Amino acid sequence: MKIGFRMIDKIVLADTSFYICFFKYLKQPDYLIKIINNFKFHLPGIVKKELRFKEDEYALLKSETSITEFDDLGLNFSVPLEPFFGKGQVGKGENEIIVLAYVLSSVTPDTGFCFILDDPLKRKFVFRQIKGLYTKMMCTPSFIGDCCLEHNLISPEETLLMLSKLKTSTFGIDIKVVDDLMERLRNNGKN
Amino acid sequence: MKESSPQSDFMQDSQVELVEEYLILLLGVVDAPVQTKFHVEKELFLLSKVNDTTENLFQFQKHYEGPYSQLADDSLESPLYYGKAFDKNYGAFSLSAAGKEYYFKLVKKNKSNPRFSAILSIAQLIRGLYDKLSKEELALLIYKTYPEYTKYSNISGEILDNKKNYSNLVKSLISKGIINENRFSHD
Repeated sequence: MKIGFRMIDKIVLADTSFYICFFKYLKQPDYLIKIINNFKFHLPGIVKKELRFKEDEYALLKSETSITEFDDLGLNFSVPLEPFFGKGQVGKGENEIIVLAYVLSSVTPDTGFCFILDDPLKRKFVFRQIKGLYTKMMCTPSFIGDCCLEHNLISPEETLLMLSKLKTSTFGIDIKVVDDLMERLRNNGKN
Repeated sequence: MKESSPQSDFMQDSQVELVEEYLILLLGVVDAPVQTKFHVEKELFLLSKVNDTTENLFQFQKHYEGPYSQLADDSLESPLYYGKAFDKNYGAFSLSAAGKEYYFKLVKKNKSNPRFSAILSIAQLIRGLYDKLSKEELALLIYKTYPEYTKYSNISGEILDNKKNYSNLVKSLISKGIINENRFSHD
């Protein structure tokens, strides 16, 4: 049975690191399930392939969440970024997310939408090279923060605990972003 | 992956016509000229690789400035179906007034086709990313990513094997934030 229901009209594209964060680093898939079931999460082809290597986690996502498998329309979305990052499998999912995000923001500019990308190199690339897109870009900690501060899906206490865990883990995060976020949470959402 | 014919993207039955349409879309999606034919060819090459079926349509070859498509070159210089669609000004290519009309008609005709919309957005992204590169920077990125196309190339040696030139190009790309230090670090 799928837990919860969608109440936030926002499409979310997340890179593999977002899912792995909850499974491996936070060890709290229940929060992931809750988050996915309250947004419109789309799972692009390469991210799905990467997650399928982790069979149990993928099975859980399939059985417990309303995640939608993205129709890739027979297109190779990672290709336009290959010359910048190489053709290898590493990072292919992130490239796909960036290009898909660009397509979604062009085709449906009025739709609520964001994409989650953690790799600092790719984030910097979006910031410098695809200027119209970075306003839609979030990292895993900031998205978790939004789930608390904007959407009340997670309590501030739970969110602070999750962020503290991430700070002491090897999950790649921008410490300043996390510290600022924790400060806001402690101040009841005020900057 | 779902297979579909190239024709299904734009509902046309002629390969030449379809190539001309791709060129019209690529040149029309950004309201600015593409600085060289080399840029048009390489941007079209990348766009064709997004869609497996069009990769065969354009027949990109290893060439002295490859990847190169004779069909795309011919279409750009003298289009058969979309006459006078392209303007050439000091080596830069853009759509003529007629070409812009063709572009808007194509977009209107296919606006409810999600595959078309996705390809158009990707063309816009490719233009945004690659238009601003110099010919040498673009060549470096293409040859490093698709090394098979250095065969028969008469420019790849100067770009890849001339150490000073290569190093300057890499530095230029890094300073613009286009690649990072590790992109070619295995060399």
